[in-house]
Amino acid sequence: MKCNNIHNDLISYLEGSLSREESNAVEKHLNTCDECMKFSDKLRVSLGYIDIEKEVSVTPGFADMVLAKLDNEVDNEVEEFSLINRMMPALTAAAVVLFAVFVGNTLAKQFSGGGDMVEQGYHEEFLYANEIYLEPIENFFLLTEENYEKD
Amino acid sequence: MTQFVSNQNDHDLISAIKDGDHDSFRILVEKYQERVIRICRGYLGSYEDAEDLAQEVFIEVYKSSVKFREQSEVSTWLYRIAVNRSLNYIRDNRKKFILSKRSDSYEMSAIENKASGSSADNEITAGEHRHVLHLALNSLSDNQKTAFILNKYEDLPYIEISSIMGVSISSVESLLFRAKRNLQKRLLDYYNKNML
Repeated sequence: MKCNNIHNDLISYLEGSLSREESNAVEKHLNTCDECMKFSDKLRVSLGYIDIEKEVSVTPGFADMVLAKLDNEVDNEVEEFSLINRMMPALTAAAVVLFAVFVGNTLAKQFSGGGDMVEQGYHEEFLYANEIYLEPIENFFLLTEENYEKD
Repeated sequence: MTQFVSNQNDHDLISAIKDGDHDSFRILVEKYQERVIRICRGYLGSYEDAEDLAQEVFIEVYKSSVKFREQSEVSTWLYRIAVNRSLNYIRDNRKKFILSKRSDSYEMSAIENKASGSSADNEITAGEHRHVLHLALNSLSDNQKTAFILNKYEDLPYIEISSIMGVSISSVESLLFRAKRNLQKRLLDYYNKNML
């Protein structure tokens, strides 16, 4: 039996799931191959720690710790819920005010020529921004000067 | 009264827990605490981390008890929560696990180098064996790891593993076969590079 074949069967050999014939073949090889014997020994020790780790000794009071943690989480959730509840009147009032402002604004636009007002405002702004209208005297002199140069 | 309560079956306990009965919850925790911690330990390696995670598992059990439709065994449902929580923990702490893998590997090499100077046969300590085992386990796919841990740490039969994982029994057999082969290969590779 070759080393590679043994390596594939080692874990099954160690857990005793090989047939008697297969198991004998592995043992025969291990007795003649130091390297495979070393692998086998180390694998046995490493896998043996599964059995050691399976032995659980629960910390005394584990259930109490779980219940305390649960109570703590429930308290926090209740606190968050009550905070939201406490803030609810203020949040509701703010929402009502915002809604009223929105509705009022919309109605004002609809029933008092809101569209024209906007248009008018635009024109006013345009007029004020126009230097010709803002500075009629300078404009007058400028025109005069231009006319003078042309002449 | 206590005797009566402790004789309640799992479904009765869950019904009571749904109504907020903490005594029934305590009974459930005490009944399953070892099994849940064992499974978490199979994934995480550290006993302290496993106990902390087990607490989270039980809190999730309490909170999600209202959703439990009693179509499966309570133990199957509880195992499933423990498995999912453990896998999520590893996923959420991937960085930590990768870092610890690297540092373990580094430490192991350092130990090996030191040992090679003083001893012809590089013996590895108990803690190192345990590290190597969990490094190899963590290198398996989630499904292979889960099948292996449920079978080897919890000694569950294939049929129960198939219920927990939601796969067929033949899939469990295949997963276990591949898990053992891969685990063995990883361990032998590790010994070959670092120990022999």
